[in-house]
Amino acid sequence: MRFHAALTLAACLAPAAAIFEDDAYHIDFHYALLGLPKHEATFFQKPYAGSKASLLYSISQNHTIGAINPKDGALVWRQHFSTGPHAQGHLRSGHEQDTVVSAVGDRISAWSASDGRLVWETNVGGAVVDDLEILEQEDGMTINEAKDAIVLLSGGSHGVKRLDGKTGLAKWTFEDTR
Amino acid sequence: VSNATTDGIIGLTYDSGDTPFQVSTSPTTIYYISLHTSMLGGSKLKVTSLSPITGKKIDQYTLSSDAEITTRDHILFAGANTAAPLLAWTDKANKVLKVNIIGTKNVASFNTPGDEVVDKIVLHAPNHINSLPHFLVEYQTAVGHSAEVYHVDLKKSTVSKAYSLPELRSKGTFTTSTQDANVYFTRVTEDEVAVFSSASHGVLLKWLSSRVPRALSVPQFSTRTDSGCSTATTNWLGAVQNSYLARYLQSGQAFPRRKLLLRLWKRRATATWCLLTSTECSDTYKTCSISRPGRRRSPPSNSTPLVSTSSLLSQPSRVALLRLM
Repeated sequence: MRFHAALTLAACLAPAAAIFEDDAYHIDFHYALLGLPKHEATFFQKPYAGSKASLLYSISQNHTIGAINPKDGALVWRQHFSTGPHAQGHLRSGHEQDTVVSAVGDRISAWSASDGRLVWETNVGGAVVDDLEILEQEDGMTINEAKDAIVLLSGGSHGVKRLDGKTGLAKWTFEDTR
Repeated sequence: VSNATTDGIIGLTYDSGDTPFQVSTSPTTIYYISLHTSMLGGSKLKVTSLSPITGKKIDQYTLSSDAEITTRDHILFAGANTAAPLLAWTDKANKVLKVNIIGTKNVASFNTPGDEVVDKIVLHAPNHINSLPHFLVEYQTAVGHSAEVYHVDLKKSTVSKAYSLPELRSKGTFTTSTQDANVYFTRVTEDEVAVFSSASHGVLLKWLSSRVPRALSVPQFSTRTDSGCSTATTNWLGAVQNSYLARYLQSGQAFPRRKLLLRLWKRRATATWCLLTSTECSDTYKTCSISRPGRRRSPPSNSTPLVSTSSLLSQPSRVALLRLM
């Protein structure tokens, strides 16, 4: 009887011990779906204001934008641009925004952060987007609505554009006439 | 730039040597930064400040930088969306670090550590507008790496060195995380992972990486955490204060993982940490995690291939992110 009790106890303990030995320090998930992430365009972001958890957003060197669940590595959504290898990719997100904004070549797009649907897209025909930022504050005050994007253009014409965060339409353009 | 090639014959091409470089925002101004190449070679950084409301030019100036900057590669950093957007660059030999607070014309000059030839300089700064204006400069040499932390005084528009982190004879990197206004830097090396506050050099949390996945010990990686992550980091810091784990960490012993997990399991707490790695050669993303103790994770339901730790060992790997929770 005592032997049976010991055996039962051992049977109960075995799986518990196995968790420590087997589970830890192993790669659990693997994705070949994104490519090499860009350092400055890989960040955590809450998919919508008030969300408890953050997703991890990244644009890779082959211009694939992805949202990853950092808990288990699950890919939440993915968008791929088929552009030339030399185009630069940018990805930014404003604080407490429900979109992430990308710029690849001459295309600037806003994606719904939680499901990856296209919110708006705009094209700066001929020019190339060299940099992208989100305007967090204006006159020292935090903007509460959809935050606008600031893009730096080169190629065709040099300059800076402010794009409406809701529609992607240009609010103003500064042309660098040198 | 296109003008430069077509107008080349006329010889009036020098004025068109402006290359857009970066756009940065401060709470009140948008800064458009371009590289102005002069006739004599060398480049000047040209800063144009714009009104965010109208897009009109407020001011324009060039920084006297032509002695240092010969190519774009020498510009280390042009900070964006911070309380103190910065421009930083080095000379050819990586001996002098120059820092400018965008919007001011002063250029602060610092000597880089002189013991070894600095191969690469990387600047790590928070990118939240409410964060303290602190930043870390990482120096990579052939034999190891070191770092210096700088503070920006916004009222006086000055940059000063706060503290140095000693050189370690191993490969390593840094990452920035923020909680509220506080800024934290995490140093990841082959041997240990340590968390510092940007305000002082004391180690807040440290653990040896002898029990950290081997992927970490491959050189040439970079890490990154964010505010959500660091909130977790600091919560973690609070939770383990004076606890079993903290005592172990302070004693510098190898991470007693099994005991810790058991302990946390008993307390029904969770200890999750997650690494996101990508390999340079196979262009893939990988994540690994230690999950909540006492719950065995089922394999992913889709056909995602499982990769074992051993297959990582043979590949040069880059840790893109370190998450602590």
